[in-house]
Amino acid sequence: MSKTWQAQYFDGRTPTPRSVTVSSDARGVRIKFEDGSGRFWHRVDFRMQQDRQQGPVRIEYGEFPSETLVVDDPEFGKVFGKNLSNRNRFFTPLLALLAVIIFPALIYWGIPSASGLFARFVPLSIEQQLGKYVIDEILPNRVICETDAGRDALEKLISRLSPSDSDYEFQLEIIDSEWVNAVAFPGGKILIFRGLLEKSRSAEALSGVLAHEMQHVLQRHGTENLLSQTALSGLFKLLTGEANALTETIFQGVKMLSLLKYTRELETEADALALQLLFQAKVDPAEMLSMFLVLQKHSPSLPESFSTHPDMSSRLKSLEILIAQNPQYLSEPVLSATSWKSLQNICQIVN
Amino acid sequence: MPDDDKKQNQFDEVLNREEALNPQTTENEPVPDAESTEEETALEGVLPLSFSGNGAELFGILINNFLLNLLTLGIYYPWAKAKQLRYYYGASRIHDSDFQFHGTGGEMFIGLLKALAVLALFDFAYEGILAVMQKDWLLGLTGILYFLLFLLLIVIASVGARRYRMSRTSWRGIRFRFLGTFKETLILISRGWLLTLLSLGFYYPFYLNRFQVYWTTKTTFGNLPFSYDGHGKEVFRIWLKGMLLTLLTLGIYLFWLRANLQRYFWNHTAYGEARINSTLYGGKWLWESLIFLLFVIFTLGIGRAWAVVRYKKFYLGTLSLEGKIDLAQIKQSEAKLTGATGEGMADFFDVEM
Repeated sequence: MSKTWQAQYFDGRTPTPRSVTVSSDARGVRIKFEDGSGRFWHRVDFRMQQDRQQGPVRIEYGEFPSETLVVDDPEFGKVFGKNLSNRNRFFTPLLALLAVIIFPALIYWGIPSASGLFARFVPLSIEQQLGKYVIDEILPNRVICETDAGRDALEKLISRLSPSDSDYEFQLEIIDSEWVNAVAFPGGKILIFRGLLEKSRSAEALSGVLAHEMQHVLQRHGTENLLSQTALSGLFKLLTGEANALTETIFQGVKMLSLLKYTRELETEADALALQLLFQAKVDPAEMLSMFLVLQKHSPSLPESFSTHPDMSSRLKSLEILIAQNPQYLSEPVLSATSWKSLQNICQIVN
Repeated sequence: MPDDDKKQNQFDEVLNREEALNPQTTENEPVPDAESTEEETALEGVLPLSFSGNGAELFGILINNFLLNLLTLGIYYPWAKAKQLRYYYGASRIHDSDFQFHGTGGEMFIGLLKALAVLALFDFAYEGILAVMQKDWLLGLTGILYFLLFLLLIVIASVGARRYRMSRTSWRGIRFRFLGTFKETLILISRGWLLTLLSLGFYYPFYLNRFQVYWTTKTTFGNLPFSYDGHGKEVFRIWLKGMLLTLLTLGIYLFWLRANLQRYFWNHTAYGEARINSTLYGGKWLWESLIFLLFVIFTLGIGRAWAVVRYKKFYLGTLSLEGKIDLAQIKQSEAKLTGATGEGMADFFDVEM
């Protein structure tokens, strides 16, 4: 004699409840009505649901409008081995652990490698448009220095350093600004600020910086960066959609730090590859080191974790190691003394 | 409506025939009529609404949902929502029976995708128009057009979401339905706004009442609709007094105004011979809302589950049905089950009417 339960039966067509007695075996449930008639529901034909741990168990039978059986005793669910109310107590901690592992892995590794991969498939024309858009957005009123002799010198530098097998056409602009820096944009545009030009002690020193920026373009670092920033922002939007201000702030912090770490890796890569360009073009790489010393003086000193660029002394150190690995490099002068002079004076007409 | 009765009868017939043909049920004896077994065929008196959820249980659901959302990068969202709604509905009851939510994560996921496609198309078209626009005045015109289209989408989302929600909600196996249409709702809202604008705002309470008429009477439980007998004039009186006091109290009275309006709407809503009775008052509502807010803030969101349970207990506790419900008169409606696109769209706009 199997156990019986009191239940309410609804036929799905009227809201009138019928009191029934329910018993069960391995095949399904048997329903007994008060007048003695009965029904049998096979277990593969019904759906079972329990909304609350201590709430009733519901069995639905058939397509809409289904017949429903409501058994108040939550124990009833266990009959079919469906422990509806008590989910495995390790489930939530397991989920939390997974989240703790997967989530940082995604931020620190997944998104950067995915954007690196996708960046390679972005067509050149789109990169160029992207670059133009970004430049117009951040430097809409820039003053470009231009003289014929200076332009000649720039073109010489570009053709000397450009790899022959590249699709990119580099466009150089000297911007009239005190800033000691250079910036590369997706598609091939590179901006060099007058400050940097004035602080360069030779055409070779400038070539070092130029090679670094050219590698940013060739390796599509800008595009990669845009992709990963978009992906990260999307991810955080998704996750903080329902969160409060505190978690949002924490997430923003994590996002910032991961982006910074990511750009530092790209800088290191550009450094190493820039050396290759210099070797190929037979430009003295030692001058690049001198340039980095100048840059070190003009950059704000921040702990590495909070900076877009790696610590300058560690950059210098790794460059020295790389140069030492290639002791027999050849070097030929990049520009004649007059050419170099006219390049350095390119902004004087504007002033 | 004889036409509807005819449809309903056909629907019942089809059901009977299907049952007779179904090999799994033919071996079963037919279900006895309710009348023949001495069951309750009518509910009478005061039928209170209540919420019987508890914070710890809800917390378990919310934390699992949060973690699964995190792990699936948000793709789990519709399933999480379904789980949450099942809990909320399953813990809400009238008399001795719980409500039930039948929506599934799968159908809400598809709804969300469809809504996303519509919105993407809309945005794409707008960007395209912007790209070919050259003149400034044309640009301004598109801006207005964009705004109007945006409102249109919100209306579509609200109506769609309500149709979906109602069709997936049941009590004692009988589904609710919302039979309102986009077109009628759009006409109602545009007309309401236009007249409100022309009357310098004084038409607004009349619009609210008209909206309530439509929204309520188009909602059915089984084959019978809810009814609403509120009057624009009375809503106007509540609104005018409320606005004046809101001005005098620098906005604090707004809570009382909202409570008074809502209470009026509830109290004029009925189902058959049973009328809704609401005891929602501004002071208590403000107090409970404040507790909710402070609790969520001071527990950094972790206590949200407990705050929600407390608030739902309060809100449902203010409602009851009073009168007589003739259960024998109520039959399952044959109206089509609506898809979840509107629900998905409502997610984007964050609207819930």
